[in-house]
Amino acid sequence: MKKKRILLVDDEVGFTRLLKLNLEQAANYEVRVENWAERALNAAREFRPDLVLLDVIMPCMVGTDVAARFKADANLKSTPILYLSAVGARRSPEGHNGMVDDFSCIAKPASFEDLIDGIERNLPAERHTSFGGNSISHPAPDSATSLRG
Amino acid sequence: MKVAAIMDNPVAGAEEMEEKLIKVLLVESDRRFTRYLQESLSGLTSSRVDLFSSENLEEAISCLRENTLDAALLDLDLSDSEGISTFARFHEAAPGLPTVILTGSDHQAVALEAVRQGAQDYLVNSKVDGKILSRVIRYAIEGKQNEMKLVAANRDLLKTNHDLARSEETLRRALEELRASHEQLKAAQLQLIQAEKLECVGTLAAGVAHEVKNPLQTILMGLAFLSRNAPAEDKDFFMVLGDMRDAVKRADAIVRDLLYLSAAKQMEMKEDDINAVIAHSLCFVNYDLTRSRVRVVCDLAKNLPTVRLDRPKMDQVFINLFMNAIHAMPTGGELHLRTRLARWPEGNPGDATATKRFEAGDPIVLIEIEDTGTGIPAEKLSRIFEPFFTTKPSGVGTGLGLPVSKQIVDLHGGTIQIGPGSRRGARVTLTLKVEQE
Repeated sequence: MKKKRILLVDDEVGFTRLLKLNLEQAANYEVRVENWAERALNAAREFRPDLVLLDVIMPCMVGTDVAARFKADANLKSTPILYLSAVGARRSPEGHNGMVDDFSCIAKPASFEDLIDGIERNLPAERHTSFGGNSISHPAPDSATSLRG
Repeated sequence: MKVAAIMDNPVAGAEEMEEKLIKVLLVESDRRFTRYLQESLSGLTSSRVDLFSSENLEEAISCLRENTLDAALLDLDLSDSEGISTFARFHEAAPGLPTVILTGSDHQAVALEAVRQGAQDYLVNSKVDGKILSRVIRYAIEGKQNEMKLVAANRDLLKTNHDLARSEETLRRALEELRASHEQLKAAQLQLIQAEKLECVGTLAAGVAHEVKNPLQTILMGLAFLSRNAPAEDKDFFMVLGDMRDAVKRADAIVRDLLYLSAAKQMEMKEDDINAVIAHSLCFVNYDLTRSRVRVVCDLAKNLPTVRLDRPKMDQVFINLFMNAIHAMPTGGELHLRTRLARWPEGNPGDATATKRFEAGDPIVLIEIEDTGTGIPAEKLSRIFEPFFTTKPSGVGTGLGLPVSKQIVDLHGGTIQIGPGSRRGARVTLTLKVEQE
């Protein structure tokens, strides 16, 4: 079974290392990490991800600017993006429409299960595959969160 | 009848009277006695007296009107008046005139009564001679003058007293106003401090949130890794991981509440049904209600007018209040929710800002949230809206739920008050303004 490719763009080195480790160990993903926002586009061109996990607040370039570059690229414009935001408020009452631009957003800190759930929900439909081994429980729909502030 | 006579001056020290012609009215029905007195007086050489004589009261009163007199000698038994009423009528006609009663020895009791009513003195006819008469008249004049001075002084005193009482009243009112404005100032200052505290916390929160949430995320990923790679038989290992996960959740909750503070000011107001907001908010705490065995008892008024509110923010207020109630009932209980249309009452209920927002009679939607829990100790009630003040055990509350709720309600132009419940527990009363058409 072909592994799903996730490009993880976040300046938090510890977080990206651990998330990559978890995603690759616990689920059937292939993860590439990019800690520099301005290198994300090149990394994506090389890696051809199925989904981009994209931090919002990063030094030098914010996530939404990175997303704009992806949209402008013919080969990457349809790649789904799932934002990660440390300025969001998790499980807020407004959580039902947690969107940044046209993409979903997960507020940090999110549990590993919530992250898997978010990834699975945002992968293109035809690429959905079930993964064995660890059973991942899907939390309530309100785990989608909004970007605030 | 007018008779000139010279009067002796037995009063030592009354020098100004020595030269003065004293005008005396003698009211006496017995002509012989009148004559006797005239003669007795004329026998004296030291002082002059103008003696006016009347035989009855009517004549005497007309004499009073026509002349300016210094004193009067009044017999009580006259042809047109008898006894004490003679003095009463005479005194009424000339209340300021020093009057000495002339009386027969058997009328002394009546004479004494006349003195009580204002006569200067009384003389028993049989014992009168020029010297005594002269002395008594002078004493009477002196006495009356002193009495008049006393009356005037008393009047002044009364007036001063009255003025003093009025000044005191004015002062008391000013003090009351001062006290009231001092209280208002204190309340306003307190609110300002509170608002400033919140402002500071909010500003700080926005900056700190990002720096705290990222490390928390890293810790959560570490915990996920460790959970997966933990030795299956080691229960302590999983307990440690659980505690660490709870600690991350607590830290996240504090940062989240701090963020609410900084975000609370951006409001999106829409007309909404408060009962629907309550029902919506209840969905968010359903799990906690069931777990804590808390029964919800609703008494929501039908056909309530809509109120302008920011739905997500009011949801947040209700979730905060519901969670507080649930935390206060760890072994179960009842959560009573009531809504009704009311009018803002007379007087000054609520905090100082409430009076600025509402006038007596304003239509309001009243929301009551009452639990049957542990309640809030009276001494802590005044502090519950302070940021970081919490009555919950460490780790359960962030101390920001109520400050955030109050800020949101304030931004809605409403009020929030917390007090004891009707039986036990706590009762939160929210009021929101109904827009008048």
